[in-house]
Amino acid sequence: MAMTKNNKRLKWRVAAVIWVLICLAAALTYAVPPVSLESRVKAAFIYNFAKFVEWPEQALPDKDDTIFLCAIEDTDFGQAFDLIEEKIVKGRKVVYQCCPKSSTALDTCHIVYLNSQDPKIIREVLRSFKGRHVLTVGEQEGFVQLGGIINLYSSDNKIRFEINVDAANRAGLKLSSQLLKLAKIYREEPK
Amino acid sequence: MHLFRDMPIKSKLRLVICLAGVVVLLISSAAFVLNYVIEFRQNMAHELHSLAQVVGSNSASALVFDDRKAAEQCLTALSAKSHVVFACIYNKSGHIFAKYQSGDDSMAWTPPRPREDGYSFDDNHLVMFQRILLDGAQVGTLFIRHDLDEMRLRLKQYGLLVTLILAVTLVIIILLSNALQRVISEPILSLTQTTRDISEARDYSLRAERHGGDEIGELIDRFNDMLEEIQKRDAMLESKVAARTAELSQANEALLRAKESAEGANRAKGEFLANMSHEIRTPMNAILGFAEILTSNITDDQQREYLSGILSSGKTLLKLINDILDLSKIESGRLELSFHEVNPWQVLSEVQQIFQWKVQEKGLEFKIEIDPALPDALLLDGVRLRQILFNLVGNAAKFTHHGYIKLAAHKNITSEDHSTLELIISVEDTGIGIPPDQIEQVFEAFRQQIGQDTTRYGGTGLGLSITRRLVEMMGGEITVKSVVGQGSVFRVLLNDVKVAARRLEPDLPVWPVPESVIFEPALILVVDDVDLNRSLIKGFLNYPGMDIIEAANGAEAVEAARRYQPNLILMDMKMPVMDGTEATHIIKQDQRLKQIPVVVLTAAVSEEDENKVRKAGCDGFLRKPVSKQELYAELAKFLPCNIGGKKGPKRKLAGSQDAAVHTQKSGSPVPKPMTPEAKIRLDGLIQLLETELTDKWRGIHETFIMSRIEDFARQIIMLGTDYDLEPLTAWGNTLLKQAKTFDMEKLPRTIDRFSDLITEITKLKNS
Repeated sequence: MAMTKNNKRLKWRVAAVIWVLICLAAALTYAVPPVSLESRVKAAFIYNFAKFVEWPEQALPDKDDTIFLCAIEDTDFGQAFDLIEEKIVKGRKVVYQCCPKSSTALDTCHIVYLNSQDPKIIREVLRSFKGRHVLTVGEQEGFVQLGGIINLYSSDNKIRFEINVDAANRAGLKLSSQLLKLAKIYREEPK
Repeated sequence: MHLFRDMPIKSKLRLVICLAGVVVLLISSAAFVLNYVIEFRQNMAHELHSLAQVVGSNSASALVFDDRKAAEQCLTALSAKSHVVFACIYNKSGHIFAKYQSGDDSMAWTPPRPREDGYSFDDNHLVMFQRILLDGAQVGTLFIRHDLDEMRLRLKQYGLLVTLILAVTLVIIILLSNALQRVISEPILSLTQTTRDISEARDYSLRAERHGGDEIGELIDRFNDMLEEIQKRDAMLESKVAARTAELSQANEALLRAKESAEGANRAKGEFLANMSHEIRTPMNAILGFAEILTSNITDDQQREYLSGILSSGKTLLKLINDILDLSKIESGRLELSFHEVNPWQVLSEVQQIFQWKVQEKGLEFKIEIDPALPDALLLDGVRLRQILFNLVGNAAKFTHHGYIKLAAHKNITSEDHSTLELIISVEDTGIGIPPDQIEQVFEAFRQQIGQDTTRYGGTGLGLSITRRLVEMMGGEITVKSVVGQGSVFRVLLNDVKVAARRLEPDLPVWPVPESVIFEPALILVVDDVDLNRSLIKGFLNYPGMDIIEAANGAEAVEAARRYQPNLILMDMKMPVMDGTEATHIIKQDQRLKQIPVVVLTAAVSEEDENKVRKAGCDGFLRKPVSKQELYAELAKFLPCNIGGKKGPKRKLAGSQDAAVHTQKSGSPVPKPMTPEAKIRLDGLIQLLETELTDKWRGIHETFIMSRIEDFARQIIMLGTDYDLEPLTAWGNTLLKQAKTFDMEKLPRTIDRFSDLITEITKLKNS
């Protein structure tokens, strides 16, 4: 009788130790994410863009409608974005959605970050957002020329950005002068 | 503070108004400036705050997107404000993200750590922190440093303006205070001026003008009330003074009237006395003169005794009149002393000569003792000194019945140069003396020693009184020491008697005995309006070879003088038609007559009259009543004559000191030699004298009844004739004569000599 009791007790002890070890391992992997500074700065930039952009009413009908931020094919961004505290812009929550380029989840996005260097993918993605009130943010030279709204680039070890004002207008977004004065402005040649 | 206190009210008011104005102005200016400063700062801070907000919001995106250049560009906007010297933007972590520095501020300056929103002023700058918000979240902090130069400048300008306003206002205040102070100072000044006018002019009818109903107005009212009061009081006092003055002047007038009437009465008394004395002297002149003439004509003893009584009583009366006159003169202050050089030696010897006979007659010794060092010329009133000595020696002779009288003179030198001395003359006697309680009384007028036998000693009681007054007038004093029954000493002390420089020739006249003068024949003009007087003179000059012509007034006298050219004129003064003064004057103006000596005969008693007469130019002066002796002595000065073998009139009279000093003993008559039978008869006589007659003598000595004295005297004379005893007869005759003439002066002494007489007769018998 006694032995069965002792065996049971031992089983529980082993199970607890294993649980604690698992938890520790999990915690360790979480505490040290493999997020680069560049990613975090980019995440902050993109988040901050939300503060200088006004969406038309159709895109955000309610006062407390959530602003969805989507990053296409970039797992890093999600982690970097999570590091931003208190993600609220003008009373709205900013929420990150991670989705593939052809996902339906993209339909709800307000800001789309496209981390692709491939012009085909870029053109494809941009095409998919044509006529929609979405702030497109890319990270590839020629992104704005392709019809993207904001393109991030590096200059003197600092991240700068350029804006296609015409694309923004087409998307129905109003960009703050504060933002514009910091950006390199791109205007499309009149057709 | 003293300065302020002594300022005139005008200045005080001005100063007070100005001070108040300036203080108010300064306070308001200060408040104004302070307010300005605060407001300016607030405005500045507010302005800067607005700017900071703009700049902050503009730089928010630059911060968010880490765009330093954009941020700096934003800050550059601050350069529009030149007073922003420094600005910087801190990022969220507090590090400086971008900064701006104005060009002229090159100083290295470390900005502070970011703080909460707000501004503060340090010494020279305004610093401000402003959070930079983006969508409600802080993305950074803006810091701006702003200098205060502008405020300084403004303040400077402002200060200048305030000073200017202050100056202008001050001028206005001064002008205003000048005008406004009058409201208060003018009434006060006018009141002050009024009080000054009043006190200077002593015019209490002035009134201060009232300016208003305030306290000054009330003060002026009260002041005017007081003036009213003073004026009333003055008026009252004046009326009182006037009343008193009127009373006083009335009293004064009454006093003046009283004084005048008193003086009038006194004058009347004086005149009365003078007139009386003149009126009495004139008949006395005749009485005494004729009595004298009769004396030489009458041989009958009885008649001679009567005549002698007339003479003696007349002389006493004359003396009494003179004494009364002297006393009244002294009392009315009309007696004046005249000091001349006087030889005291001579005066004393004169006194001795005059009293020698009388003293000898009383059987007294007359001693004289003069300090050999006594100068022979002193400044004294010789006439009055003689009067004093006559009185004292006369008294001594009167009240001394045995012993001696001593006249002494001493001196005390009182000044170093011997120019003055103290003259002490004393008269000592061994007489009846004066009781101690009556010593003072003897000097009082009309008082005699109590119990003094008036009938025995007679006298007026004036002699000593006059003597004392005279001594006092000479600045001296008279004292008396006396022991009853032993005698008295009268001491006259004259202070400060001046020693005369000139030695005097002893040429005071001593009257010669008339019988010893033998005049050479002469023609004499006698001028007098009274027949009796002329007859008297004629009687006196009833002399072989002497011719008399008469005139009844001055006019007749001048005519007679011209016609007869007399050798001498005897001129009366008071006469009808022309008085003696005028007549003398005319005669002395006449070339042919002026050498005729004029001897004035006057009854005038005052010195004034005497001077008037002497001025008229008379040569001699005789005072009525005149005696034959005096007349002869005076005539001897002017008419050729023979006196005791000496030729007159230019002769010196005797009276040398040596003669005066020696003492003389009263002599008794030299007895004739006695026969033996006469000596036997004498025994009976002596017995009779010592028994029966001594008893009788005692009776008359005690009772002093004149008829019994006369009987006694006759008995003695009879005995004297019977026994052929000259002393007895002589004594009896003297006694009888004195009893009949009531000669109270000599009678007691004569009676006292009875015992001496007996002794004398006893001696005669034994010799």
